[in-house]
Amino acid sequence: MIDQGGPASPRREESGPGEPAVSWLHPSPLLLRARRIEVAVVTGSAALIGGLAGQVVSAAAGFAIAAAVVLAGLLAERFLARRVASWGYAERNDDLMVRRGVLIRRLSVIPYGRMQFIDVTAGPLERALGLATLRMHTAAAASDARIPGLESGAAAALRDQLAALGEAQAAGL
Amino acid sequence: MTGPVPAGPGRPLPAAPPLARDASWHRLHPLSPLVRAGRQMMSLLVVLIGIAVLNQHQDGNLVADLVVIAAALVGGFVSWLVTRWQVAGGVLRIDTGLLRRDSRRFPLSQIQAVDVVQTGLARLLGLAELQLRVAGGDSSRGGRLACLRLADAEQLRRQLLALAAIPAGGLAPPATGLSDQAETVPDPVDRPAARTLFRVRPTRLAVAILLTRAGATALVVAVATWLTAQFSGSASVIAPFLPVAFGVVAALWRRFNGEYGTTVVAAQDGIRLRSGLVQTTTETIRPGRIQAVRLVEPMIWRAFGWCRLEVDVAGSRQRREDRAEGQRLRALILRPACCLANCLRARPCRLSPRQHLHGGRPRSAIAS
Repeated sequence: MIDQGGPASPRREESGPGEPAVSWLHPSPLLLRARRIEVAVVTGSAALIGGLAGQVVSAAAGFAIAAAVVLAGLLAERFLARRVASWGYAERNDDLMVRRGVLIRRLSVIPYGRMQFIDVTAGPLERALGLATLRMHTAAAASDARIPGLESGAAAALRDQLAALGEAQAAGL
Repeated sequence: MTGPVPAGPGRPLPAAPPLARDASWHRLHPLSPLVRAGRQMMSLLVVLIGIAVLNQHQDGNLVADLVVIAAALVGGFVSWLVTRWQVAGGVLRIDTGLLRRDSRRFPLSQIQAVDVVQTGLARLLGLAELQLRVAGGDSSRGGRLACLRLADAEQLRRQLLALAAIPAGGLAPPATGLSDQAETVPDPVDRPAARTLFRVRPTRLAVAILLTRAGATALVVAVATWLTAQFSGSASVIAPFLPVAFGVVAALWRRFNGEYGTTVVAAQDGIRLRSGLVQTTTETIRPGRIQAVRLVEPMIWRAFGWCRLEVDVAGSRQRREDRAEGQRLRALILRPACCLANCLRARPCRLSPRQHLHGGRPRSAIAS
């Protein structure tokens, strides 16, 4: 799913669901690595804590719990690649489209003029990998859209572009 | 408040230059960690002094407390160090965060209102907090610059509102200074100076608060306490009532403190609401950004011909103590009721020529 895209620029794909003309951009491949690290850390600590708690009952129970947690973590890792690959966004003339999800596919279309403000955050892990998460806020709290795993440069460029477009097409709520 | 006056009467000159340059990064005021910590810092100090007075011989406790305070100060200092803001190209940008970097952009055309808030401590230090109200997002995600010098905050508010009024197409190049930006705003011939529409007198506010449900509750609690004390004959019986009484008094005080001296001013850049006794708030709502106006007349108030006027603005305000208030903006008590409502209603209409000049987007009178 995640293959070697150009590390500097977001990869393009010329087809999308129901919208053949849209060219979809994808988050950086490093996002998969970030997610893997997250899953590994969570799984490791959960296995440790569960295992230690199980030791109170018996040694076998502790090992069983730890093994189950690790198995669950490995299973999650299997699906991670597809989930990460499902993220995509496309900039069109009047709106930004964001799609996500494997089992339940979501497609959000956000007109530039409806954007109220833009947020770029980067946690410690994301910063170590040079990634950032971009979040667009609209007036309706439920319709906020985010794009994770953008490379910092791409995130900054997209943010500037969105802010400029939003300014130009502002609907002036 | 009629226009950007870089060297106004009584305003120190050095306040102007840092804001006049566009597109450069600014920091908040160095004392802002102290103000932001504000209340916690105060209680911490009180506890510390109490501890120091009580056990002067045990130095270990004191050292531990000092370490806690120092850590809080260093944390505040670091957060001040990594926070910076910029106004460029019609966008306010705020960068903050050490571990978790956060960069926010607020297109100025989307601003609903700009608040200048001064807590008691900030007023002592001459500082003020500037809050942007934008639609959407929870209150913690709104734009917040805490703290700036009061003169700077007011100047920045003027600048932001002036920039926000300029449509994107006619946006002046970002290099131009504040005064240039302001001069591009065409002056309507009939531009009124800041005109006070209404002022709530403290006595009327106090009486009106006492006549609401909270006031009635306070009255019942007071009477019950007094009767209990009278019948039992000893003052110690009222001890269980004290927490309730304290809560009621605190609620009443909060309302009085928050709405003391409410003044409505129709300024050039919007409707300005000023209020507050200890913590003062000055809100400026941009023209055409009022979503709804409501007149509420509680039964007892009707006898006096008073009513409360509530104005809805998209975007919640970010005052910690008023979280329950949500989007309800302001309670006013006035008489006659229709006067101010008509004023507010008339204002966007009267402004509309200017809005056409600026934005070319006609907005309906009140629910835009």
